[in-house]
Amino acid sequence: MSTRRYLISKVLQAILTLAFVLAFNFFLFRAVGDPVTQLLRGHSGISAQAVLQLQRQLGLDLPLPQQFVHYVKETFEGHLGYSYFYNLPVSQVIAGRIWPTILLIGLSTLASTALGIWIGIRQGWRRGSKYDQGMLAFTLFTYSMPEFWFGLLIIMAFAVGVGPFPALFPTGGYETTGAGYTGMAHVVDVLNHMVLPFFVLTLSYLGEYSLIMRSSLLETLGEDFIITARAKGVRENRVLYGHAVPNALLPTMTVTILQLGFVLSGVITIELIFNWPGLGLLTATSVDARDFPVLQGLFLLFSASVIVANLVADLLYSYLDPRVRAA
Amino acid sequence: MPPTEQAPDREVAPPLLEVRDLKVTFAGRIGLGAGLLGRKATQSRAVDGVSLQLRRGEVLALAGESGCGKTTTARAIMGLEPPKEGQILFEGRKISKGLRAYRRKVQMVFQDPTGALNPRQTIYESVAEGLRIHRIHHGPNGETEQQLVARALSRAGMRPPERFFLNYPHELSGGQRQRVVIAGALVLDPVMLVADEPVSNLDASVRGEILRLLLQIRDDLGLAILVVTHDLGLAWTIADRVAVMYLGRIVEIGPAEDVLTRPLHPYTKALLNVVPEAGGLDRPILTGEPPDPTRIPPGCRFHPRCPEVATGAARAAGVEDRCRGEDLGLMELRPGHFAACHLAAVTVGEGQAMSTSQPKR
Amino acid sequence: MSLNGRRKGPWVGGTGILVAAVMLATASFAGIAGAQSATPSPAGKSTFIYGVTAPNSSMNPLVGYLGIDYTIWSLEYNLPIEFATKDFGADLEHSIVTSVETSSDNMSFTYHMRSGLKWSDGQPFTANDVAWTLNFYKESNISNYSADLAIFKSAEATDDATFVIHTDQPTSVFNGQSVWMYEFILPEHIWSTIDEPKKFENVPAVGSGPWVVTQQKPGDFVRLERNPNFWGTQVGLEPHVDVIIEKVFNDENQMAAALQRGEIDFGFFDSANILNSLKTKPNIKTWGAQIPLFDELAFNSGSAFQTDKAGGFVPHGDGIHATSDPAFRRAVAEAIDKQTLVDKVYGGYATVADSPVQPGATTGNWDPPADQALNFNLDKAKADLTAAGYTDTDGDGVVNDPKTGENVVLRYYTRTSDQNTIKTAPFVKSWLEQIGVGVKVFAVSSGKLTTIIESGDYELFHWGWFPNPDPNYILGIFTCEQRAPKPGVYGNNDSFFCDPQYDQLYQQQLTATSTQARVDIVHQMQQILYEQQPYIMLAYTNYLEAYRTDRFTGYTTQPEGVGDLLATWGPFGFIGIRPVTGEGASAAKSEGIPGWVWIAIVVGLAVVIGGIMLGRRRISDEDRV
Ligand SMILES: Nc1ncnc2c1ncn2[C@@H]1O[C@H](COP(=O)(O)OP(=O)(O)OP(=O)(O)O)[C@@H](O)[C@H]1O
Ligand code: SF4
Ligand SMILES: [Mg+2]
Repeated sequence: MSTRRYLISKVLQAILTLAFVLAFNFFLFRAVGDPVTQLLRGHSGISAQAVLQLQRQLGLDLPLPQQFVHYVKETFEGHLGYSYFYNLPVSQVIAGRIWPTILLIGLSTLASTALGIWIGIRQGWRRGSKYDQGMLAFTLFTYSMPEFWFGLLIIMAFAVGVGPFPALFPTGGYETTGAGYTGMAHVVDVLNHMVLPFFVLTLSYLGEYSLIMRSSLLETLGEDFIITARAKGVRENRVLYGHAVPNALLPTMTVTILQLGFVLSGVITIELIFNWPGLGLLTATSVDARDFPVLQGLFLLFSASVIVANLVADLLYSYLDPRVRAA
Repeated sequence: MPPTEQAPDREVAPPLLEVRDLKVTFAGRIGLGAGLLGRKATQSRAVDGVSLQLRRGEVLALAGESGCGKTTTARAIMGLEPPKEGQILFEGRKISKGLRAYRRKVQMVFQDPTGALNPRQTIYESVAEGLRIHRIHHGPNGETEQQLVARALSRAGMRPPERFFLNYPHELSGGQRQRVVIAGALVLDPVMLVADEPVSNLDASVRGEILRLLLQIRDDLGLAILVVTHDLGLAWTIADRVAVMYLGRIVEIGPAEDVLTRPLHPYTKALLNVVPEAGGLDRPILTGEPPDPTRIPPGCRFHPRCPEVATGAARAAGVEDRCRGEDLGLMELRPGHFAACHLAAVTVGEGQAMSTSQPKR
Repeated sequence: MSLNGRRKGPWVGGTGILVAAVMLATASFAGIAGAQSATPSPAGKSTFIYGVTAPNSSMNPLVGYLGIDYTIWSLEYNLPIEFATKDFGADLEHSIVTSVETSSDNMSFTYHMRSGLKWSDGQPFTANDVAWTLNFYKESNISNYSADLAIFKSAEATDDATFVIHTDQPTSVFNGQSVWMYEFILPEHIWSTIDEPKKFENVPAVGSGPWVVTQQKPGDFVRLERNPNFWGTQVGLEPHVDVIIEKVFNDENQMAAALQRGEIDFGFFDSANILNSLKTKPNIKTWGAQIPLFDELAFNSGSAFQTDKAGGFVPHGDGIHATSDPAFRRAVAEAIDKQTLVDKVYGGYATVADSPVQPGATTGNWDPPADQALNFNLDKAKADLTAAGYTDTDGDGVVNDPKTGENVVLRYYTRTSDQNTIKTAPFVKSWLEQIGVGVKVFAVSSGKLTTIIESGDYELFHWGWFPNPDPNYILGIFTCEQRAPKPGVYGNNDSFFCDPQYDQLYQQQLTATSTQARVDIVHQMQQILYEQQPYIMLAYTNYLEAYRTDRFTGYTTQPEGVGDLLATWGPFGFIGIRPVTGEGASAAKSEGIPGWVWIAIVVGLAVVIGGIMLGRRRISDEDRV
């Protein structure tokens, strides 16, 4: 019963946050000023009439409350507005860019959490060992290295080829332009392009996860139930994986999901550096072009995914941790 | 000189557990920086030559101030801390041989039942885990796992046991949790229980219950119990014999009644001074720095804080130099009652009780 | 003692497996990468890839407005009359129109077309399509085309191969002697059925040009494929390339790297430094193309003081009085050493400019006669300034406005997105300070500057234009009507220049009945602009291009000898390029992924999985404490 109430409260909370984001999004982007005018420089013989027409077309001539109602209605119908810059529906622009990002973030988050957790477990288990100290130094280094800098170094080393490094990988992009691969060849081509951004993104976030996992495991390993298990003759392997890791994973998982917002911001840099045509690159170019409808759509999407991820985390947490279920 | 406890009666059967001159050291905590600079850690001699024996069905209390090494001793006995020196014999055999069988026969109960239970396991799983580890699928009379778990819970006072099977630890009270921990121990039909401060984390109201439960288990099942406690009053209530530890070593051991009413060691006397049950004063008479296992004083390790030295009683008895310079082991000063004190050795020999710090009765 | 082994974890060898897996994966990808380093071309198709540094604004010719959009439409569609590659003149030999007749009243123009033209979908392409398109542009008031169609009344198709254009006034611009109409002709059977043509994505497109867009990923690439029904083969226009891809880069350095790696064949650059760094690279050539493109220093020529109400203008802004005085502006112009800027700022990739109508424009560039030229001469500038009444009356080193008595200090805006504007500022500041004019330099974003210009809150800014080959459009921006009427409303006339005589000439050039008469008027207009200096024309900047020599050959220039290698005003440049064959051609293009790579991948996976299984077994064997 209490579990149900917990779930309902979490879902309600998420919906409220989303509603807030929706409203905030609307007013924030109205507040930055009328973007129509700067689109028109370079237009042959634009008239004031045409400007008005464009404003009307974009719904910018209505009173603010009406614009808001319009906006909410449209958003729920999946219409996120019309890109000033690409002159296409925002939903179409975003839809065309979403998969590369999901692929990149998905795979690299999987890899960085899996690897980070794994390294963290080993570090925690052999705390103070050479491995632990080496990994600590390594992960702190990768964690603190700015992504753009790291990315540029990697491009120089592996894409352009400097000194002893041969130019192994493409400098950027999602696929070999114009190759027209299909099927497996296409998959391999995309993976080949993804190696470097994947590598940088994974390494950038690895440290965070391994550090959290390490300290979380150390804490768990100090608990009496671990000693109890050992005293009862539980094998070391099961002490770790049956008792310590499941308990230590919970905080790591929460952080991983909370981290999503940061990963999204990191992916903007990475996509820009590697010309990876995903949402991050779209964000960067839309900022440049002052393409507010697209930014608005992206902001909504990013916020919604972070909120939903948090909700999923809460629900998972309640499933995985019996203590929360009752709370 | 290895301090040894001589068996009071020359029993033919060996004691259930015999600890001989156990030493456990820890590398003192050092920072990462110091470690990288290659600095050596100071050694912490947490247990520095403990010897004791435990017979079947006997309750032995291991008492002493915080940090004196009680827990470390208990954990070493459980095979959780590798001894640096010394031997631990169980049923006459070293525990390092046949550790698995040993772990079935010897179970441990902790101070904090909340931490001792995996929060993600149900009560049933926690209790049954021991059975599963040791691949016990049936009881001696063909009981199922479920019946074994139910019996253990019920023996630990969780009745009806089935009601608790699917609960999680956080859904129980502290006392109930401790009962579950005890049930987890009992389910394997152990012959010995090591209980480290089994009640000090519980509400005063349930302490008595749990202590009664332990005694009842001893009576019903004939278990030997080693109870670690810093509370001499508690030791008095449940123990057959009491061992008092100071700075990694047992300084006095003997029948509970004898040790607590007629203590031989100045340290024991000082401890009893604050125990109401022993009619102690509320005024602690132990002063000086708390003991530090990285810097164990020469001679009698208690001498920097010993009231007998401070008041000049030791000098008067002509033992002060030995107090300061001559390390010593346990001596049987009364039948079955051992102590490690130069002064006591002299005064008891003269049949005199120490007047200065003898607690009033 | 066995207890000592306790902390020795269960996974000895785990790191080894991981490292092996990563190395294997990397190696197999590397193998693929190696195999792909040449542009692969499935089924023997040749693919030409050119790089750009900004995404397209639209594939729809009613909507897009960037130069790179026009490049794509030039390949997809035809203008009634195409720009000649040589000089932007009318190329009737290679157009859908073969001849034009002008009526005696100079108000009707009969266009004769080739017959048997087809759209890429096989439908016939007739005079109906042309007439429909022109009428549609006029009626829908499409901003891209409204300047060209200002005096256009209507078009009608009299038969499949003939259409007639009627105008409101007599004119020469539709007489077919120059390319007046920059109007892409659309297929009526597609566009007349669309409800909201401005929201039409137009991908894949139906067109009449040599290639049509088949796919786009906005901000990533645009793919064009050969139109099987291209009519140009009738007149010997035979494309040699099957697929053209425009690849978008967000960073010029990335584009430079991609060119070096052969991921692209051609690139349009913005930075002279990057272009120069490519100069010495093997198999790469660089080129500064002279095309209609200029940078100017624009004055606020008096938004706050103007009274002419054309276009609903209301005086606004806080620009100072001095810049509304042509004498002041001329003196300032004499203080600017354009050649130094060309050399030091533009790295030589530019030429000194004097008129917004560039040499090579279809209709009449005008050069100031030697005696009227405002040459760089600080002493003369100072003397002219003094003569105009601007002297330092309060002795603080800065001249004072004779009218207001205030110090003349110019707010001078540069744009953060354009390094050249930022690099120019210190030069200009130092020159102006030498003649006693104060300067405060600001660097802002383009968007912010637009707002500042509309408000009229500036004295000077540095920006540029990319005009059409015909001067109509760029001359039109100086008319009174094109000023921003009030803050917050856009206007092309960003110097607020307003001169009734000039506006009159602008109308006259539209309605001159002979091409020569129009040229004369266009010259007069340029002279007015030169004398009044609303813009100090700084430089005709080059289009920076670099390309691989081992891939494609056959580049032509537009205009001839100096211009754009891809001749992007029309399709002819692209039609000319063809793959390099024989010696010097780049390594054999691979057809997909070689078998050994697949084997490597499979073996790698097997090893990884096997390793993991082994690792697991080891875990359960260990730790019998
Ligand atoms: N894992 C360890 N590493 C280093 N030092 C330790 C470790 N465990 C215990 N010690 C030290 O050994 C000494 C004895 O500790 P122990 O826990 O055995 O004392 P205790 O008598 O049980 O005390 P308490 O009553 O507080 O539980 C203390 O000084 C303690 O700091
Ligand atoms: S030996 Fe001496 S110092 Fe030690 S307890 Fe006895 S009297 Fe005190
Ligand atoms: Mg303890």
